[in-house]
Amino acid sequence: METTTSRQNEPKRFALRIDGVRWRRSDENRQADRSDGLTLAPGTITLLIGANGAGKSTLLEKMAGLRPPEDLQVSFGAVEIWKRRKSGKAGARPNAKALLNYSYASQAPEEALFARTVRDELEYSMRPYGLSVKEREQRSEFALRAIGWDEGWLERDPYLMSGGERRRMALAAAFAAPAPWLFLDEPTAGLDGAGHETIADQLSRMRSEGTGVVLVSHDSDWALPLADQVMLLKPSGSIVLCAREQLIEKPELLTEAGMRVSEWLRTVHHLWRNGVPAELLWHPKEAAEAWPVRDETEVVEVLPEGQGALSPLGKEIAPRIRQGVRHRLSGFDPRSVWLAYILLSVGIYRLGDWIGILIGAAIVAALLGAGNVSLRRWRVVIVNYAIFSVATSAIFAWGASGEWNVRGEAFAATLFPFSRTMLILLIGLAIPLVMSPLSLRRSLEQLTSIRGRSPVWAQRMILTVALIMRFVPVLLELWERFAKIIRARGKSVSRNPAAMGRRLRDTAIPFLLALFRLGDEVALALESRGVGGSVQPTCQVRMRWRGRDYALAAGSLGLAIGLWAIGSR
Amino acid sequence: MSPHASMEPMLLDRVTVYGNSESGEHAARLKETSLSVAPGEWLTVVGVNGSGKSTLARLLAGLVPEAMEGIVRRGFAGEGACPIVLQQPKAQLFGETPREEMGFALEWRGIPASEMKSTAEEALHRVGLAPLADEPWERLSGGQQQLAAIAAATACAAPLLVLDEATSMLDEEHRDIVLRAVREIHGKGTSVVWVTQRLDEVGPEDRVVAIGEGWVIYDGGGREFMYGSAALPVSPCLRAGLRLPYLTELALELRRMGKLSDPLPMTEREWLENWGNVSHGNNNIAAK
Repeated sequence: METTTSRQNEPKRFALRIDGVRWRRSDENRQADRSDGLTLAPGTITLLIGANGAGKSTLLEKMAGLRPPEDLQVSFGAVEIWKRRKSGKAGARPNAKALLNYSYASQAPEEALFARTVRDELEYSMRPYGLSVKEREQRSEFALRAIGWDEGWLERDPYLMSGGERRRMALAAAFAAPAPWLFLDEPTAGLDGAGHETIADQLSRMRSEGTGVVLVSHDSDWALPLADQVMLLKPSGSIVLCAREQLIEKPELLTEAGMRVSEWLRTVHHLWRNGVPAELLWHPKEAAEAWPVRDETEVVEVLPEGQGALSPLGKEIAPRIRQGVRHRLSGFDPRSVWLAYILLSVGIYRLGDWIGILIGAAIVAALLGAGNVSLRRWRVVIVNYAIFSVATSAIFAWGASGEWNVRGEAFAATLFPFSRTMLILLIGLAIPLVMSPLSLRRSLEQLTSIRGRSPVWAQRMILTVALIMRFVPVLLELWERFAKIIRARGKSVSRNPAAMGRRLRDTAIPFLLALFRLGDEVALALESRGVGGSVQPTCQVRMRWRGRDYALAAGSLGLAIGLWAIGSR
Repeated sequence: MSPHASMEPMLLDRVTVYGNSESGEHAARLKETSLSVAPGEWLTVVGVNGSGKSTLARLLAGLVPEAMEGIVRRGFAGEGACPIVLQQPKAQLFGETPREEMGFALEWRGIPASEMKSTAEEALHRVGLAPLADEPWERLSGGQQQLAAIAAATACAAPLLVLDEATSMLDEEHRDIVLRAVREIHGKGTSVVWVTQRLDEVGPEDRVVAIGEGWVIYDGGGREFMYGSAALPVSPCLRAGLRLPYLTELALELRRMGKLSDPLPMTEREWLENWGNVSHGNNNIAAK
């Protein structure tokens, strides 16, 4: 038992309230669905389960203020995690104070460790809470003990630890923060048996001290006996809240949520149907004692196959429904898209004044609109480029004037080429969004091929370029993942440059490490597919220009000539 | 490959694999491992994170480690890399749709262009992805993406397929789909090395190799792995540092209390049969 934690740094107790998600209790019927007031009590463990793709991690991240809430609002006691807009809807910025109310360990949290000692990692998680030195010592001790370590570990380097030790380290960092709520996403995946036990003990201990826990876990036979209640997330996004016993009594609750009933739960269900009370079934020892012995049971009911809990598996899985229109441009030959891009770029490059730029901008906007292209994915690049252009122009204009007043003409004159380049950049950024890297590769190889074979160096270079393009979105995703984890631990939403710089640094280290691991896996996968071996790749289908490709090229030639004319006025 | 060579088992003889530990020193990831894999065999490899099971999987797949000692005879698996499927679909998919992925995979296997389309179609059919062949990844589930990776990896008949925790990101439903597809490929004669940390994937008749801290701790049948035997009083599963699943623990408790006897049940059918025995037998169950 943990007794050393003093009163004052014990977490305060708050209920966690989720509004804006459809939910009901399992004993209510569908008409009871409502969209506000889903409340989790402090000092309870809630297991969040759902089928793949139902959005468990997404929900957890929304609850933690780490991704746009859409219609969701989450409150800890009276504090809402999303600032409200004037309209009253939850806004796009989290409330920095509310972030202090939870501690969060994501999936594979050890990948986000970045400090050189265990002590620094723990300090990083505690820093936002403004604890005294003594309180920090107590929390560190508490966190280390929670994972079965002692102070001897404080100076060790997480980087030199084994995978299991790093996982423990990351969980300790989550336990160290004195937050009233704890969010854990698959804490035991890949952990050894002893680790499962240690974590379970710690969660029970924190519960008895009033901490609320929301847990996502695949290991249902480990997690369910720990939980007080279960939040079943359906693929539709609605939630059914039920007591854990209900899953034993009504396993069909799981099938209704698009999940399979695991074998252990089905076996336990049989026991329950034959009279063993549900509360004896959570631990194998108690269940074994209650297991009916021959001749003692009178009524034995065995479910025939295909009924109730034993429903057959293997229903067809439909593709996930998500909005995502295929881009109209993907039907074109990549070469015609490239040609169109080059023609338009030349035209834009000829523009000589601001009126021309305006017309060019209108054309670019119209083209992006017509092609149904959203540049959202590149917003960071675009915003940074804009800031860089304006800042450079301002510095240049200030230097040119030699005085404090910035001269407008010099500013505009420097900004002009930047703006022109921005237009070309905007169309260029659209290309990877509408064309798959492999079709790009094929088109380039076809361009460089002589009598059906392209030279090896060209093949290599083109493959490299195509792979880099393929993995850019993966890298962006990876970066976002670590940025979220750092935000959840550092609790900083400040936009001042120093804070942003710190976040950048803390994100960069785990990002680079993850990058190396990804590179390693990609190389393995390529090698196992025979890429780079002695085989000369065969070419799948030769691409042909069709009418629409000629039309695209002609259209862009027309536009380019028009732009040229505007530029030469 | 001559037909004779193709029937030789793959052999590892006291193989030690060194990896660059993160401090830059060489650390043994796999220690003096001796193992054989027969053509057409199904081998389940289990162990906790960092136990060395991935190192073993890569070695078996023919991906040559930077530093190793010992003898590897690849036998039926042939020289060169075998198809391997990894945990993360996104690191091993290079196209944007299953069909494009198949095209990419087949090009590098040197399949003539004329046969490419039908071969791709066939491989997609095998894993049940044919109706979704032109859907971009965002519209496919993690399980379906893994199926695409498996289809691409096994596009041509391969003697050996290695899956390194291919289902650890999947729920039970999708895990079953992947497992079924791989069982089918296995049924057509391909050897399978199935690396997992989920013990409910271990079948009673499977051959299980358990790795702990780089050593092969156990190599034998699935049932003995979970429950031990006369010669192995402690469950090898526990010795490998893994957590006993609920049903395993229940069965062990029941045996201790004298309510169940060997062979202890492992599959749902076996549990039901025992259940039937406990309660005067049940024709309904026996008939199955």
